[in-house]
Amino acid sequence: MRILLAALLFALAPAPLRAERPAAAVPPPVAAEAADYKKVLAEALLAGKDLPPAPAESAALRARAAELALGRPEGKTPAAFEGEVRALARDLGLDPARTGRLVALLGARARSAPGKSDSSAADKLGAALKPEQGLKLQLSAQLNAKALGLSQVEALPGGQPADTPSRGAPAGQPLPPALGKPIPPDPQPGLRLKAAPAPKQPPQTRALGWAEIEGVVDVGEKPKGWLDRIQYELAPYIARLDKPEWREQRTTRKALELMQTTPEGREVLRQLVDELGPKSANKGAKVQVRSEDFGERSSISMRDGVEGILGARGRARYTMDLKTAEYHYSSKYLEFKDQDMATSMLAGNMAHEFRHIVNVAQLMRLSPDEAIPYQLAFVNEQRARQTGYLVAARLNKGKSNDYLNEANALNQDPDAFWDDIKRSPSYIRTLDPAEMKAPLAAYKSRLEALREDNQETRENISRNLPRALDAIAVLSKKEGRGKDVAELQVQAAAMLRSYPEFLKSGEEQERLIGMLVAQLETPKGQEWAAMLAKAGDSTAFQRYSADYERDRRTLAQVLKAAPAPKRERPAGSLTWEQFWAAVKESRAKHPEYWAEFDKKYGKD
Amino acid sequence: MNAALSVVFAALAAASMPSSAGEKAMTQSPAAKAYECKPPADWTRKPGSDGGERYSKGRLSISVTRYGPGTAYRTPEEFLAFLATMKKPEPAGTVEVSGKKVERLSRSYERSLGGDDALPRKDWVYEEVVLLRLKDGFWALRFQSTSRMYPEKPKGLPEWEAFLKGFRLR
Repeated sequence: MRILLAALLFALAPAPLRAERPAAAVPPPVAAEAADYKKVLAEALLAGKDLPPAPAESAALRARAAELALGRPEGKTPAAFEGEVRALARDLGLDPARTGRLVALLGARARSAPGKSDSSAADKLGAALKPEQGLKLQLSAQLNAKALGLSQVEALPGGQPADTPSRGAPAGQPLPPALGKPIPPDPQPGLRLKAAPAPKQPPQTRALGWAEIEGVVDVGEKPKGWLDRIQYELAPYIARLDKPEWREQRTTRKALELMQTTPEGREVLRQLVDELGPKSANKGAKVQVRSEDFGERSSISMRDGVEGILGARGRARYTMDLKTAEYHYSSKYLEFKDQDMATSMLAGNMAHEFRHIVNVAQLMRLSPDEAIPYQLAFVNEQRARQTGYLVAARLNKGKSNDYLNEANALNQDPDAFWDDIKRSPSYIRTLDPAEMKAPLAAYKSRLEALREDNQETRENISRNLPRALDAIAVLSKKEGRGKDVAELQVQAAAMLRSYPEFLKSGEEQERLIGMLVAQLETPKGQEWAAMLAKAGDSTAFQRYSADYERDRRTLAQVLKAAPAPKRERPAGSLTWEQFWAAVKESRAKHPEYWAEFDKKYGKD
Repeated sequence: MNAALSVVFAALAAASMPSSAGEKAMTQSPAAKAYECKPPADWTRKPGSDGGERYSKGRLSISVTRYGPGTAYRTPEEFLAFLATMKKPEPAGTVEVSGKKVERLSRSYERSLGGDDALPRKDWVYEEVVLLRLKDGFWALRFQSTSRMYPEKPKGLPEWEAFLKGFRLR
């Protein structure tokens, strides 16, 4: 009977569970017997803890409990809600005292209905930390998501705040277990479930057909009329026939095809179909993929003979219920001379942004309480980066590009790489699981790092960059090496132009993080710290961390087999290392060239 | 693999707060008990990705990792070949560490951090590596100092040199 029930559970499980299992039969998750489960469920409800997974016969009971645990929805009278809670308590076999406690506990929670904007979890987070007069800091998911630069959580038209889940609690499926390894049930209230280890390899799923992809990704519509269709098909070969929107579509399609040639790309696309496709609760939702002109924030760069994007490459924007989801990439990709390079880099960026969307969709389905703290989880970015870098590494055809360069940098020293990522404005508020357990200490450390960085930027603006430019001028005019230092001159001048704005942004972040630290030192701020600490223990975050760790090792193997190509400086163009060596040589041979320079900057 | 992942989870659970580097040996990982060292007092200690220990403050870091058969790099040559995929470290003199005279290697490279900020994140990394060879593996001590501009004079060298002086294999 158990085996039959397990087979039924397995058959009904969402696709990711099936996709990740081997062909051989896998033992089902071990769950408590029904009578024991009621006790375990009751304890979890009363303690305000995560509800444990249920055996098949108790699944409906768990679903009722999870729904009621969200609190009284607006529109339902307190009396009606209390009646439902009492009925649940009766089914759980609670005595009158504990029934009373459950009624009081759940009755105190008020949940907003769709269409109304008020106390979402994020607003509660913000409200708990509403600053004293004069301070404007709102620690809502919207602010943090925006600050993170990962995605923007926006209100839908009609006023529903995007960070309010518009559905009830999920049915309570645990995260997919590792191959053959069940997640053990929580035998005692208060014990934390350990996350199952990640599967050893990403699922080697078949490539998706266009029908499946277009069911969840809106790449734009092909023209309908037969004459227009002929023109559309001929456009890649006859430039005169082409239109900008068709060119965009072809680029998007090509990037999707390239993604699918990699196991990580297939995995994220498959998971996107699982979360948004026809068999999902989000049926009908699609990720709109378009190019976008990011203006001055994005431009084509040429470094060491390789085209790249300077600045914004792409962004994902979505509402937490995924009714709106879009990925826009820089329109500069369409202007690359080397379109193979453009689509290859785009495939990596697209996989990265899709990973953000997939993970949030999974959390909203499995554990919506954790979807909001996830916006502050550093593993959110780590996971997305790994996906993008793996796609880029697998598409490596021996030509260097920015993505490969980053993948290589990560592989050289992951700890140092991530530490430096955490210092940048987009991610400075994000925390890894250890930091979530001590957020005040983590943010104090970030604040110190920010102050150090801002001071460095000030010194670069006031002295180091002008000094470098003056040294370039001496080598150029006095030593006749203008051509050799031309690229360095462009780099240094661009940095000097943009650093004041960069400093302004850094100082703003310093102010905000300072305010955040001050808030966390208040009693109300400590409530939020406690919520973060709980999120740090989340099985979902642990699972994503394990996935990241698996992908990190895979990246090391991929790069070992096919190292990222090094960037070669065009002949005659100096690197910074060579430049300063040339300065030293020039000083020794012609100190008179450097007299004015030394007067200005000293002889160091 | 599962045992290795269990170690990862245990490390995540155990390292709930980065500890001050001045703490006693009982809080060190098993690998750390194989050596003693004196990192600067206000540096933070955390487990490293490859199973070693990492001490850091701001833009400075020192990592200590043991490699050998069964690890990511079986030999020092394999490890150096891996570093060379970014940039080959060059000899930079010798230094005495744990009673042995060993070669000091250094390199500088520009590291892309990506991201979508208006000013793309690129940092310069100045790195020094010291390898202590054993019969059945080797220790890799790595120092990194990062900066936004090319490091004519890398910061943190006195701290690194003091660390090497105080490092002892047990």
